[in-house]
Amino acid sequence: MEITRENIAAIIGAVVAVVLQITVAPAMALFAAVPNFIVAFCIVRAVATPYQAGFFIPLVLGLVFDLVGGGPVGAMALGLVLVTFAASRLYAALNNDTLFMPVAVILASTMLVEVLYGLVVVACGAGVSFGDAFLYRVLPCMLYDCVIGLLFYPLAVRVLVEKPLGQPGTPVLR
Amino acid sequence: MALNFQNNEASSGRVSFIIALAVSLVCLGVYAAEGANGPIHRIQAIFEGMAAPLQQASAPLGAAVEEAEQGGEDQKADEGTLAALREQNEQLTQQLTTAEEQRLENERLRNLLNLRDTYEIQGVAARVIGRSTDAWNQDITLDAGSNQGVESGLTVMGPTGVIGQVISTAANSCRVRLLTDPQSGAAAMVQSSRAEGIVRGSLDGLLYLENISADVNIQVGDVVLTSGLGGSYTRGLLIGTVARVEGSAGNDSRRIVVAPNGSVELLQEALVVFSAASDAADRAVTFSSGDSAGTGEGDSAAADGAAEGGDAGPDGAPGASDAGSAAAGSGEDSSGEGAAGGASEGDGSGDAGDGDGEGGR
Repeated sequence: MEITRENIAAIIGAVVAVVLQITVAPAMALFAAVPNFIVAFCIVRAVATPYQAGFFIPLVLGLVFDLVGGGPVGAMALGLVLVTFAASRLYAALNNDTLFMPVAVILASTMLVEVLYGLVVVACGAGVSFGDAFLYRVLPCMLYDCVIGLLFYPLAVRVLVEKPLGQPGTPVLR
Repeated sequence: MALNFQNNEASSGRVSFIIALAVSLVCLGVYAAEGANGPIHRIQAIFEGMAAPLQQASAPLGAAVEEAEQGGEDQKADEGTLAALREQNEQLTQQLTTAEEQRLENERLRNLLNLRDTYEIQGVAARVIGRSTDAWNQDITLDAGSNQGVESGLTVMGPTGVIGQVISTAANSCRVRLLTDPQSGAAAMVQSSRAEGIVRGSLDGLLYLENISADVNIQVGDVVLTSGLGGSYTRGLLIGTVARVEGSAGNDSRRIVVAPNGSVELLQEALVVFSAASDAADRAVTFSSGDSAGTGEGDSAAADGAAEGGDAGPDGAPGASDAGSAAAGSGEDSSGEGAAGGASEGDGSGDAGDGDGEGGR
């Protein structure tokens, strides 16, 4: 990994996401929904820097989340690697300089991560049906993560991206 | 040349993607296949221990959020609410003098009736320093670990009853899976009838008493204790009271909802139980009004129980409402008619449930 401004920003962002997840997220729980800063960060980064996102940070952050959180180790890592890959490729292919596309990709990706994680947790023997898991955990968490992801996106575009994507002269989100 | 570079980049991207995917799948596979003492579980416990100080540092943040929520609610109070509050304030002022007397009495009773003395619990008290960092696990972190003698599998009690079980330990912290977690399962019994079953958590946050024989009569208010079957939970400790019975005796599909004896959200301290009195299941416990949510009706009965004494129950098991006499050390069994003690007469025909206890993922 080259030492560039983007990579340093990404590493700092990853550390901040982990610290927020451990310290702030439990205090921000709304009923059963605990926000996931790690998911939000990885998805937003995959959309903000689709060509440089890579899989190292999603893998490491996913493993850290699993190790600290007590869930099946590898589950979040798997979900993040798969979804950030899909999100970055999708956004690279569909980017049309509108605000709609990154928002749509972030929403869809966040939901997909939570659904995948829920499926793995249920498959690993959580003792509940996927219907219950979806209703009581996946749905509220995905909504919470979507909100956080959308709030993070403008910041990520400003901090993580040296030169935002788009044609010259296109208005950019700054 | 440029094309070559792009091809190389795409190729290395694919390789790193496949490596990342493989690493996560291998971790997941090993985690699912290994036991609770496997290497990945041990690494997970180490990470949890490392995260504990961070969680502890964020505790004031949680308190600040709660205060902010309360402040927000106060801001929204309208004139009608204020008038009602003023009226309530007058009533409360009148009750204050009486309440103060009762508080002093309660304090004395609390000293007599606390769980440790009642159950002769050997254990270590610990402070709650962290809560679950994700939505899928209902657990808390305590500031006692292997250095204090805490081991995986030990029962953990709050001020008013069992709250869960230790699932992993670090040097100075441990993680406790709460009873309300869907993966929790505690072998339990109904104190009045001695019917045995399993108390399970659920995603909706309720506790369900399952595997109870269909012919056993379960009533709202019946006290539920750990039965100790399977050895996963210490026998005879209070879990809560039956809050709702959906369906009737004889119906295999009835659902029994158990109200945990106290709010875990408000929990600040907990007791890790190393051992308890062998006859703990036959001992009664009650709480002063400030602590108990689950045995609220039993509170008033507790004082009555002490004054009235009681009748020996058919199974010799005291109801929860007769703790006044138990705490006073009289040793009398008095099943009484306390609300929490179970309105139903025990039939002594409890069926043994299969306590499966704690299963690590």
